[in-house]
Amino acid sequence: MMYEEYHNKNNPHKRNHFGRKFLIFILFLAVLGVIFFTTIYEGGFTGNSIKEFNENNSVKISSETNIPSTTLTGEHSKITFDISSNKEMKLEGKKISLDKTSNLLVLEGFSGEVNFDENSINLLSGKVSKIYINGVPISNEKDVKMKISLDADILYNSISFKNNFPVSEINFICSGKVNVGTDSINLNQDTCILKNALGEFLVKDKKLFFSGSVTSLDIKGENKKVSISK
Amino acid sequence: MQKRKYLLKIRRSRKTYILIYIMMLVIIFALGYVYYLGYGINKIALIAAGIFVIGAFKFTEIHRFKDWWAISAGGLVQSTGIFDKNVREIAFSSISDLDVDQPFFKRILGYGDVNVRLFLNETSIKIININRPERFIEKLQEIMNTRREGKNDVRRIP
Repeated sequence: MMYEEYHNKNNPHKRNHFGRKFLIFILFLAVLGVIFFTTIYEGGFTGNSIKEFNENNSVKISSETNIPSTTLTGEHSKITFDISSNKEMKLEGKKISLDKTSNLLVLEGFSGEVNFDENSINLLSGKVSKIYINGVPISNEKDVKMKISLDADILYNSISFKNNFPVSEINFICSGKVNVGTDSINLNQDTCILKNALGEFLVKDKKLFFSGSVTSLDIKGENKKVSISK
Repeated sequence: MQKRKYLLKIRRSRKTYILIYIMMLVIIFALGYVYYLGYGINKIALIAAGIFVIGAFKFTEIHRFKDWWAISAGGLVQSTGIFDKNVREIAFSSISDLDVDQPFFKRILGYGDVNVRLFLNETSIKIININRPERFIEKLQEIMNTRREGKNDVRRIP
């Protein structure tokens, strides 16, 4: 037997190397796929900054639906929370007690993360330019944004997003009603996808009210398929 | 049992795993990019990425520590495996020739394999993916020559 032939046949390092490398590469692709798939197809509201919005390409709608579990990240010009539980808030590391049965919190120039569902606010963390607590304004003298965070699981009466609040995509299973012009579409556990929504959102009485424009509206359900865009 | 002292002990170069390190960096960069775009990072994605990065790092370190080669006063020692350990010692007098195997990619990064062939027609020792293989051969030859000349003043190589 020739030396090289003997050597290759008996060398344990030659065996299974390709298979192992291939497996690691497949795992790598799978993890990358999971990262991008979950980013793109995450339910609820996703990424709330619209890069370009053209009014000529949008459709005016209004809707009244159930509330999806929602996570919003980015910058929001004005958010109003009507909080119904006695909890604490941290502002620049200082604890502020929200001891009334109903506390009105207005955040201006908020950048950070908000997560809520139909029952409670689960997360609020970020920075804010100005905050009004029950009508009392608080801002930093140096005009620097202040760190803010709220306790988890805070019950609320309402949340409103004003000043043409932008959301790049809303994708959720919804029940309720969508009005497009004079037409009205009733929804019952249908998949609802709103792209590039710009308008006012109000979360109240376990319902999500939206009034504004979208570049496209897709509704998919049993025996129902609606696609509206301009 | 007293730990045996070797004149030189080597393991695989970490450069062997450069592609795995690049994959780990791509995963970390992808997470950072998703965060930078303003999207929330999904928990499953974060866990999967964490398992991949930590797992890949552990794998490379365990794989690296699995095998080692050493030059002792009496010969060349090869140890493979962690749980099923296989240690082989070859006297300098059995070594017929040494050669370096360095493809282009390994040559650029400065690592490669060393084949230690024997006079007897049995399996040679392949020292895989070590840093600066030429330097290792030089050292091995230097020690072998010293031993063959009958000098016993072999000193520890730094």
